[in-house]
Order: sequence, then C-alpha cells, then structure tokens
Amino acid sequence: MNAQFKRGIVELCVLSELVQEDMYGYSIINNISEHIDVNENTVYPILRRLTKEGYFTTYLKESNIGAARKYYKVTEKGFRYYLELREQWDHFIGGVYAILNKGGKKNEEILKRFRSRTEKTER
Amino acid sequence: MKKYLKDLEAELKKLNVSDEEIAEILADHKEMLEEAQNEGISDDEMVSKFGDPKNIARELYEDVLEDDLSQKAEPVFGTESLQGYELMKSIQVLDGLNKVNISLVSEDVIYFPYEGESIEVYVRGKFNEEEYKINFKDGEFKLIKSKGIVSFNIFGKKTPDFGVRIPQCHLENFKLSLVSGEGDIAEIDADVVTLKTVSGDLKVSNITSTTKVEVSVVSGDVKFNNLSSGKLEISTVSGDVSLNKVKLDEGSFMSSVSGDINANSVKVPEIEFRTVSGDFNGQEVYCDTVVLKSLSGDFTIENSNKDHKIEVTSKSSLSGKVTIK
Repeated sequence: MNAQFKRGIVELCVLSELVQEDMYGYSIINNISEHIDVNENTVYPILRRLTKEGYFTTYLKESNIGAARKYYKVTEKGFRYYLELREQWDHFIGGVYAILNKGGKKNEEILKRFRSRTEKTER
Repeated sequence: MKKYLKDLEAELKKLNVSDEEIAEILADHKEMLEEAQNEGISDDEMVSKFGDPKNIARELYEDVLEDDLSQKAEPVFGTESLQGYELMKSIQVLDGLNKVNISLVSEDVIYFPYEGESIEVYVRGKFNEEEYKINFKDGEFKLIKSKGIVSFNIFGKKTPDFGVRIPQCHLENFKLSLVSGEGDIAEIDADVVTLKTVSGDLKVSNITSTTKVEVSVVSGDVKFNNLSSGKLEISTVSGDVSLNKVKLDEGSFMSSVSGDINANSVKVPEIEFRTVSGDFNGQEVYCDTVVLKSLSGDFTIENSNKDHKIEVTSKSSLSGKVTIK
C-alpha cells in the first residue's frame, strides 16, 4: 500500500485509540497491530510528531513492573484534529464503498449481472 | 536489545539529530523494548513488532528531518531558493563522491552542487519511496526510478519533482537520463558528462568537462550555457539544441534528423555536422574546419571577425545552403 496513504490511516487509528484513554507507547502499538498490519516504525514516528505539534502531551506514570511508562494524552487541539480526520475518512471511505457496492455487495450478483450484460452485447 | 539501541543511535547520529533528541528517542525505545521483553514475546514476534532497526531509523529520519526542515530556510539552488520542496534524504559523503547517476521518467529535476558535506535530495509533490532507488555506494550517487513498479495512485497523484544538491567536487562521470521530465542542471565539473532526454527539455549551465560531453535527445529542446570540454557530441532527432558560450579543445560532432543547432559564441577546432533537414545557425562560431553532410538542412556561420578562416574540408549537401561569412 502507498506508504503515505497508510501513514494517514495509522495516524487516525492512533488518535482514535488515544481519545478513548491515555496509553503508553507499547500498548498503542499492540492494540493497533492486533487489527492491522503495522509495527513500531510506523506508529512511533506518528506519536512523536503529533506530540511535537501539540496534539498530545505526555506524562510519566509508575508501572508495577519495571520503570515508569510514558503515557500519551490527547489535548483539546488533538481532539479537534481527530474529529476533522475522522470526518474526512468517513466521507472518503463512504464514497469508496458507494462505488464498490453499486449493483450489490455479493460477487455472485455482480458476476450474474456482468454475464447477462456481456451476453447481450455479444449477440 | 542493547545492539538494537546502539544501531538506532548510530543511525540518528548520522543525521545530525541533536543529542537531546537522540536521548529522548532512545529512552522511548528502551521503554517499549523492555515492555515487550517483560511480556515474554518470541524473537520472531519482536522482529515483526519492531522491524529492522535500520528501517525504523529510516522511518524516524523522515520524521526528524521534517521537523528540522520546518525550522530551516529553503535550500538555495544556484540563485533561486526551492519553494515547496522538502528534504527527503540526506546522505553524508564520507569517502569520495566520483559518480552521479540520475535516471528518471516524468519527474522534473534540478541539480546544483553546493558548499556542503552531504548529498541532499529534495522532493516536491506526491512521493512514494518504494518507487525510487536513492543511494550512495562505492563513490556513486544514484537516483533512479525503479522499473516495473506500478504505483497505486489512490489520490490520482502526479509524479514528484526532485531537487538534488551535492558537495562541490570533481566527478569522473555525470549521467542524467530523463524521458519526459524537465531538467535544470548546473555547475558540473566532470571528466565525462552524459545527458539523455526523450521529450523533456534540458537546461544546462556552467559545465566543465575534461574529456567529453554527450547529449542525446529525441524531441526535447536542450540549451547549453557556458560549456567547456574536450569534445561535444550531440545527437538529436527533432529537438533543437542551442549552444551559448562554448569552448571545446578537440572538436564537436553533431547529428540531427530535423532538429536545429543554434550556436552563439563557440570556439572549437572542428565541427562535424550531419543532418537530414535540420539547420545549423552559427553566430560568432570560430572553428578551423567543418565537415558537413546534409540532405536539405542549411549550414550558416556569421562571424564579426572576418580574418578567421573557416575551411569546409568535406562537403556533401543535396539541397541545403552553406553560408560562411
């Protein structure tokens, strides 16, 4: 997949995770990679960039195992950015599905229609 | 884990990332790696979750570089600054750079040496790194569009434009090959300069070559300004080639189907011009001998210094006019 495109999607996923609750880096990566194919080298730079841009703040919190963890927290500005991205995404993906689902969702239906149409023109 | 962090640190240092920033990035990674270890994941899982340290560093570079760039002024190429371009790659040149090879398709390229120590590649527009090979190895810098990659253009992208800066130095070879993109290159100092374009135009200024400059063009126009070389070889189908302030020690061979050669202020011992229907229009062209083969193209030289004799040693022209005055 186009790297730039994927980055944008992962950015939305990161924001979406963090608007639910504050999280530390490793748990964000874990949560997202459960669903889509990403790893640390995509997620970490996004965390870093969005923090620099003021969408996240960070704080340290002791964990019961080992050293303190760095937690990421969405700011007001970050939340507005999330809403904006979410709307763009819904609009875009909705448009894509409207195109893909024209004439039915099932491949058998589409094939049937395709066959009957091509047979007509061949005759 | 120690090795991983070390590798990451080394890669970041190459990019002149500040110590403060490196410390922060390393601390973040140490935390995440420890977390993964505590979880007791296998080595394989570790690799899939964290990737190759080199790749991570590269992905981080991009991010760090973007941050850096926002604080920097735009890079100056010649007398102009590049607006809208972003630094995409910076390669520190440790051992001698002696070859440059740029091969693109529809991308435009601007090329200038500068007083720096790194090769810098700037990009404007949609750029997909997987489609290009950009590296510096064994003294050769390459910027090449990979063949056979069909890009997934979900947002209807146009190809990107490149700006390339290299440290000022003498090269053995400079090669530029374009298909439909336009090139603006300057200040090249090399033994051999090879330029190819199909339909894109080329602007070439201030070239110093010890051996030869070769130009091959199909329908694009090529403009030379300030060129000094041993030999100059031009081959064009229908594109026009213009030469301004050119000095050649050995000679010049020009072949054209229908493209014209326009020369102004040229010094060369010998000109060989072969054409079907292209014209040679020369002003202040001081050569000693001319070898001419033309079907219907005209050959004209007009000089203000009438004392300089030009001898046409071999002439075969069917219907073209030959005027030397």
